[in-house]
Amino acid sequence: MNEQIMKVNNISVNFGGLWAVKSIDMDVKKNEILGVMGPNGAGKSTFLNVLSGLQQPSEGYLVIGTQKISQSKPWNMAKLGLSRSFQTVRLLPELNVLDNILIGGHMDAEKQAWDILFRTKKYRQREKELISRAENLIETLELKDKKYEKISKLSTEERRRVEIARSLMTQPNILLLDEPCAGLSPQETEEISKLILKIKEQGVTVILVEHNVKMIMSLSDRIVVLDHGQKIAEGTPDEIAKHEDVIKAYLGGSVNA
Amino acid sequence: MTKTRLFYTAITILCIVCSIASLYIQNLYLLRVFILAAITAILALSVNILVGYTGQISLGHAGFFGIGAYMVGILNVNYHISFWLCMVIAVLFSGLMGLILGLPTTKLKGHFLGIATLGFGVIVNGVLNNWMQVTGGPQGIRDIESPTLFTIPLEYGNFFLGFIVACLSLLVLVIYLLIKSPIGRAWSCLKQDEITAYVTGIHVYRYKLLAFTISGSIAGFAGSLFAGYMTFISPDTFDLNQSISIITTVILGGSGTIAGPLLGTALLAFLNEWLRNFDELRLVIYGIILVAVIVFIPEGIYPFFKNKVISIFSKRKKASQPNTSIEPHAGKDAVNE
Repeated sequence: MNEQIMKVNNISVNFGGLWAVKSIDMDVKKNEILGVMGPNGAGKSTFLNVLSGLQQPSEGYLVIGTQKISQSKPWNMAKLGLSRSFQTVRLLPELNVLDNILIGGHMDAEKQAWDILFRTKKYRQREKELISRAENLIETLELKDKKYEKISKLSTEERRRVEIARSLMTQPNILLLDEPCAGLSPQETEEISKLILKIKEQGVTVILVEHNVKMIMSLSDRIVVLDHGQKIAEGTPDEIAKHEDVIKAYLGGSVNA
Repeated sequence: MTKTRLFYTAITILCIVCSIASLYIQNLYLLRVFILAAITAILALSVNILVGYTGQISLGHAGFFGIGAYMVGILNVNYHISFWLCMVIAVLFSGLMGLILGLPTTKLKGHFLGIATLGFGVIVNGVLNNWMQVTGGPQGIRDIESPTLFTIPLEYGNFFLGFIVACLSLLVLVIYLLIKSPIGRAWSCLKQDEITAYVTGIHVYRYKLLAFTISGSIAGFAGSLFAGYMTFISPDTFDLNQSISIITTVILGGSGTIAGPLLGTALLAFLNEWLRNFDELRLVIYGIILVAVIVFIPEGIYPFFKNKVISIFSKRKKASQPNTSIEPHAGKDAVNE
């Protein structure tokens, strides 16, 4: 539980003079749910973009395992075991659920021209494994009856599930979830919360960015609070609920976690 | 696998039937139309890899077509290298040019990519027109060797048509295998959403470069076949009109499908010939038909009719199973055919 899986070292992002993220340091421990919260414009999504390689930091670096990473392409971050979902679900509308999830298996797929053109035994075996892995995820995420459904026919919650399944298909060590409950009803939020706990049980570390205070307080092992791009607090949900700066900057009162 | 096997069988049968049928066509005019249509179909398939599967616009594809044709022309006429070796070199060189064009342009999108590829086509045409010592300038290159395949002289239209149908079928099969593989999935992903491709570990630029290279090679292949069939090439065949015409063919037929560009080629070839009866009104009618199709069937003719057929069958299925709770799996393998 206390083993460090990623270290964030003095990460800053500057957009033409404005510091969207400023000097953030934190450790991410193995198999924890780390909540990241903050008011609108606090820099949460920019921070997630840095972790997933979509945004290059102006300063600072990450340490994943033994590797120090200051500037890295997003596909390399995926190879290092980071996968993510988005605040606005990003799925491929022309594909069905199974094919969308299979996209996540790209890194493990057989891509040699010879194997592809002659459909060698190795290729067929690998594809079979990928499809079976995707089908297992479909079952775990309770999407079995939607397997061949087009994305446009799914509800918002189902789309979120498909996106999470696609992220899990990359077999990540760290899963970054950007407001997975945005636009969902309380019941659906409950379902997604159970799902996040299930993912944690499978040994995946989760970094959860969420506006729903009740949810983030109940799910997270630790919470980091950002405000105006800076880290203002870090601790367990109980510590955060009592933290003066957090109450002042974000909550506007005490939290019944 | 069943679907793939069905595809293999259909392609093999079609190839054999077309190749045999081609031997019995007596009308030389018809033979010529078919051969040129088959070459255009190969060119359309190459554009489709970029436009249809990868979502990259190409307005300079006549450039690759010209490079393929001129490589064969120059090497065969000036250096007396055999046609088949020239063809191999032409395909490799066009692929290399695709890679070189792709290197600076893979980071461009939309109009900017369109302008860059357009520039490529214009540059190639400019070189073909002005590098007199090598390309012969506007006079072009004549007396290119007509290929002979295992003692079969392809200078006879019937044999050439049989050969080109076999090439087209093989190409369709190769493209099908590619798009139904992880490479096709990656292309489809970066076409629909690059950000998704990034976070799922797809090296976006590498896959775009691959598409440019393969597409360039296939267009070069079409060019080398054109040179072998016509035995005379000149720069006016490889101008901007050709690039626009080929992308129109793909969009009209239905980009992002294999059957779409083939159907588009067949329809436009037929339309072009049929409209010859209308003399000066030919281009006006041609333009009106194209605009009408693009406006009313923007997804392309093949996807439009495919969706119609699917909806008719799914309605019938529902009508015959009024109590079923199972919904049709319309999404299965919907992309890439």
